[in-house]
Amino acid sequence: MERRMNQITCVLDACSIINLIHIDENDFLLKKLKNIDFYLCEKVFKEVNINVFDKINKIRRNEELNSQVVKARKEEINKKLNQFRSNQMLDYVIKHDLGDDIFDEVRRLTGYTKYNGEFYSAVLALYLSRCKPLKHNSNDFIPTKLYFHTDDYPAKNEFDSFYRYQQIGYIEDTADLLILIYRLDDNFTLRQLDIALNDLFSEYATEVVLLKRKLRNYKKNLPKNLIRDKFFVNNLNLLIIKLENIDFNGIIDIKDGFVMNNSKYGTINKILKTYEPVFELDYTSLNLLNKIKSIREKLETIHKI
Amino acid sequence: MQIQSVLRGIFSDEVKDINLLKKYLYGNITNTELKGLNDYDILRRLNSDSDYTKLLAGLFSCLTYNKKVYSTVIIWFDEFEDLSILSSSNIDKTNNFLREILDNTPNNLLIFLNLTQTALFGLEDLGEYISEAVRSRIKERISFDLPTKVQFKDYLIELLSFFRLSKYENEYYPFEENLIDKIIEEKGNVSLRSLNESFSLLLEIADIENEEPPLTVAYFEKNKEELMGWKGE
Repeated sequence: MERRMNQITCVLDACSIINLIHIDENDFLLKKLKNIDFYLCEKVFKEVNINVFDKINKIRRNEELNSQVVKARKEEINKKLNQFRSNQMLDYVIKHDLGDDIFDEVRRLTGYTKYNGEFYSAVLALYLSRCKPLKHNSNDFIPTKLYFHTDDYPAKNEFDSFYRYQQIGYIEDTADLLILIYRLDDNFTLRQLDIALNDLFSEYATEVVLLKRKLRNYKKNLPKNLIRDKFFVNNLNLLIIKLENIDFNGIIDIKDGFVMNNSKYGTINKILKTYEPVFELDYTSLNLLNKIKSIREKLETIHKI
Repeated sequence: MQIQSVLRGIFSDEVKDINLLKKYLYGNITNTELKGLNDYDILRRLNSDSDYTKLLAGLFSCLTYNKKVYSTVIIWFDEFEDLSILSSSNIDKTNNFLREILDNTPNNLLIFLNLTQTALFGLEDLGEYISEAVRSRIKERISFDLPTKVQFKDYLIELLSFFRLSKYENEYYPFEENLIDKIIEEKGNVSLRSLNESFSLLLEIADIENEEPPLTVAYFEKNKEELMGWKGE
């Protein structure tokens, strides 16, 4: 059977792209990604540009990395970024085809109030599902059902019904994306998939463990006014226990509780802000870490058929 | 050869510029500075992980040579369960390091790998993260179970005795013994860390409120909500 270019279309969110860039070695994954027709919106590309260096900057502060090493790593990341640049779909193209008020329309339909990458991705996904260009620069459209890949589970929750009711497609995470590009490439082995999944897991698990440790240390030296603050103490404990048990359900609410009273809880808010990705894991059922763990446990069932 | 020269540089006083040697060891030396070490047969930088492992192995062997100055080197890795959150390549590097350092330091090196089971890392996962080459070199497994009531009380007496300024009749001072029983009973089967946290918090609250010791069950009941929130783990 001759294999032809497949019809699988994906929209990628900033966190998925950043995770791919971080876990990729020698461009292995980015090359495999070319097997799918993927897009990203302008806003996501900007977000990636800003946030993709966070990790190296954080390591640099903690470990006094040699500046040459930092420079080399940043250059490597920049090269990878370039591979995503050409897959951007510009906002004006979307407006040109769907009308200037399309962004307001999606805002109305989703009730979403933030102007972030997830929102613009939803508009892009809607656009591609209705009028995906058959070829670059051609006027022929092809109706499509697609996948939006994000590791931001709270955002996934917010947009789920929009993707379903508008029959745009499905929302999946980076673990699903890795399995997909594994399946599409004969030279992608199960062992390589296992390594990629482990590294994705490592991206989040490291943040979770570091945050937990920071909070534990903070708890040991609480200022006197906070020791008797029942709301504070109970929520801090709850957050630590949840991180300990890899149960992320509701951790955003705990964080928001602190943020609402920033004058009193400024110190903890500063700590939580440094570990933003941890709060993307908030989910009622199987969260990303447990999901990856369970995929790896039954890896044999994923082998290519 | 190279490693021998570096070790000679560390142990003999031939190299006068200690800062230069430090820069070399931390990998921050410039090419011009490196030339300053050429006279001591140190000709190239330490590059690979294996260079560093061999250097450490040599260092440990020198320090414990014939047990003249030191009898043994002990490396203690705390929170080794964090191995499970590393990337694949760092897991490999860690395993390679352990294997190489053990092979290159045949005598007088003892390594402890301290592991606590967590939601991310159970004992059954061990085989997945520690390679066969390292596992086969493990000589002994020591497991610490959760403390029993008697064990914890013994531990508490010993711990408190270190901080005593004078002798008290009550060896649990500043706590009453039945308060200790009460807290252990309320917390159930938990780790030492969790019990420590409860007792230290109770002390802190008492300190803020200027409560007169010894602390009683009644005082515990008054502050129970905060204390039990600290159940932890």
